[in-house]
Amino acid sequence: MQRAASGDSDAMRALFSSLYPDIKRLARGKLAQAGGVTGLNATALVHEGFMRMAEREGLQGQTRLQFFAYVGKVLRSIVIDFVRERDAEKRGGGMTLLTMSAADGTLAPWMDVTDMVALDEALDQLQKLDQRLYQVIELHVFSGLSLQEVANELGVTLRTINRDLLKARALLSRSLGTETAASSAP
Amino acid sequence: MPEPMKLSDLPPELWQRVSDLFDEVIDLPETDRIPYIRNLWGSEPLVAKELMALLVAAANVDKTVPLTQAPFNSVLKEALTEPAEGYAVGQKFGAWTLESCLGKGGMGEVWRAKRSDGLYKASVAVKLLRTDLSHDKLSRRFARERVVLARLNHPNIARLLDAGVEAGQAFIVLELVDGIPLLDYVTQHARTLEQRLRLVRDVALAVEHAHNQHVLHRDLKPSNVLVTRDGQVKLLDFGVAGVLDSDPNEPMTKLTQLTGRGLTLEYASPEQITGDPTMPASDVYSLGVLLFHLCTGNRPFAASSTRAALEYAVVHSDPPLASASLAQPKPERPIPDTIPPPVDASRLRGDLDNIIRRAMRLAPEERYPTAASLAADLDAWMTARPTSLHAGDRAYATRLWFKRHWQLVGAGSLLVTGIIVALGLSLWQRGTALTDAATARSEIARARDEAARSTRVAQALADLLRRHRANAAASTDPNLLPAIDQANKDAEARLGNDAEAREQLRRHLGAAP
Repeated sequence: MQRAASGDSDAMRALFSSLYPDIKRLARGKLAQAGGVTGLNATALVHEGFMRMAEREGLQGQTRLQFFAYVGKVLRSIVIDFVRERDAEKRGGGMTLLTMSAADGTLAPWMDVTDMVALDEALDQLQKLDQRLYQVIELHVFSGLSLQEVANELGVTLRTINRDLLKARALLSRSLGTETAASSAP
Repeated sequence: MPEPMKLSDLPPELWQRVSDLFDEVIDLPETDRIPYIRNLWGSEPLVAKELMALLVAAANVDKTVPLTQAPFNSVLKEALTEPAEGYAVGQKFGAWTLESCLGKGGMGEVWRAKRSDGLYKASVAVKLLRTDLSHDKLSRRFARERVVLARLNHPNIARLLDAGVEAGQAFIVLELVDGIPLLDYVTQHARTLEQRLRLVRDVALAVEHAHNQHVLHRDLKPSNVLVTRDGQVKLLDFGVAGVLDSDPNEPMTKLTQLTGRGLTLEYASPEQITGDPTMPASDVYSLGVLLFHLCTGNRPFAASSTRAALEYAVVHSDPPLASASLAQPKPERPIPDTIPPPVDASRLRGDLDNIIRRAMRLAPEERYPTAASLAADLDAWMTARPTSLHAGDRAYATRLWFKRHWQLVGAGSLLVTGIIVALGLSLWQRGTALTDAATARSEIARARDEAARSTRVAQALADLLRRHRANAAASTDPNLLPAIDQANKDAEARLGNDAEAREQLRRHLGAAP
């Protein structure tokens, strides 16, 4: 978990680090409660708990953002670690692609075609290049805030967030080399 | 497919420019974009090239990088529910050897197992619990709790045989119950209110037994109740929630405190949700939820779409009336754990509504003081005897008296029915009058008059009835005689120690001595 956002002060990092086991336990606990309910939005479920915590702790402004960013980091690393371990276990160490259960119905073929570890590296690069774009992905995709909530947290319009998200994904797509063949210059 | 571009190779100044222009171009109609870029190509070819590539990537991004909540969420869910280690047949936990997996759930896995040394022949259920508590903490807690839990010895409670920690994995060993989960059983085999109430009553009595041993369940829910083939309920996981709970003696972290742990929210009492101390009344509340569920087919607050909404509802409002919730329109999305309502759900209204309400009061002290008192009221309802909610209400008791004898009353002709009803009422009034007379000296005279009048009315009615009885004896209706004799006996019982009244009644009804 040494991926603390560059903007984090040491004190903040120490505080959040101490919360890591709690975040993981909370996430697990929330899922356990929901046990077996299909079609459940795990991120939203987990997110509810964090949202409430931020509210009750009276987290404001930058601190609040850092908190959500940290939650996002933890959840992202849970997923990446999980995929790494499973790949190592099932395919004797080689990198493989994920096959998803269709539990969510809405599943895009993403997981079938995306090399999760490459994605993880691309995300790190994205963060170095454009902290803001990474932040939008982190808050929305990883820590489970809705687009409107992200807009509120960052103090911009929903339109801006939508555009940033599109831009971030396009950039990741460039990095992963997954654009279609039509991308050569005219 | 183009070569992947290392984002670290993209100069930040170039990216900043591309990013700004992207924001402009993306708002242009598609037809205006090509001229825009062609224009740019003349002055800033590098920027134009990168911008073009980015726009193309953006157009296909839903297919190539659908990095949205749903897929991430889906892997996250899998990652979080994946057990730390897989378990295998033959694996040993303490003295127990795993045989086959019986099921997986949020709390962990359940395996059929046998005792390795053969000292105990029967198969058992080994529950491998998922917890993030440290090994030491768990061991200490298990040592303490299993002494208490092993003391529970009740036919409706699955016995706890062992508990321990092996290589960081907490496990408990339970009597293996050959049964099906409560909701399945109810759906298949218990269609009437009475059948369902009987099950809840049995659960409540088992809970009472545990409470008397100072053990709370704290996680009562349908999946913790199995029903055997012969209709016997078996409660699982007594006290397990307590073992896994945060240590009350150790300061919880803020996060745990605020968000709680693996508590089953749907059946939890308000005080459990707010993190206040649990008590027997908390189990009574959960019994109330269970009752509500079986009586209506759904949990109270089942319509709450989010956990926050559900928590809010449980903590802030008394539950809806069970009978009223039946009338709700069908929800748009299916609610998990819905079962068919009982066929005679219309009988919910009134007393049963109130019983459920009392079990589920927000304030613990307003609920049934014990699980046994809830069980007693369920019994009272099933036998149409007065519930504790109506102590001292005579008119209510009288109504119930007739309800109890409804079949019997219904067996006679309409005329006889009318007579029995009238007779019962007048006898009842007489009894009332006599009691009042005894307690209110100043009204003795008036009460005596009233009593005498009641007696006369009763006599008149009884005469009528006796005549009818004679007719009925000669007729072909075989039901009437036993009916009247039964009415006689019951009415007698109502009069209690009043020997004189009983004697009178016997005379009036001409019952066999």
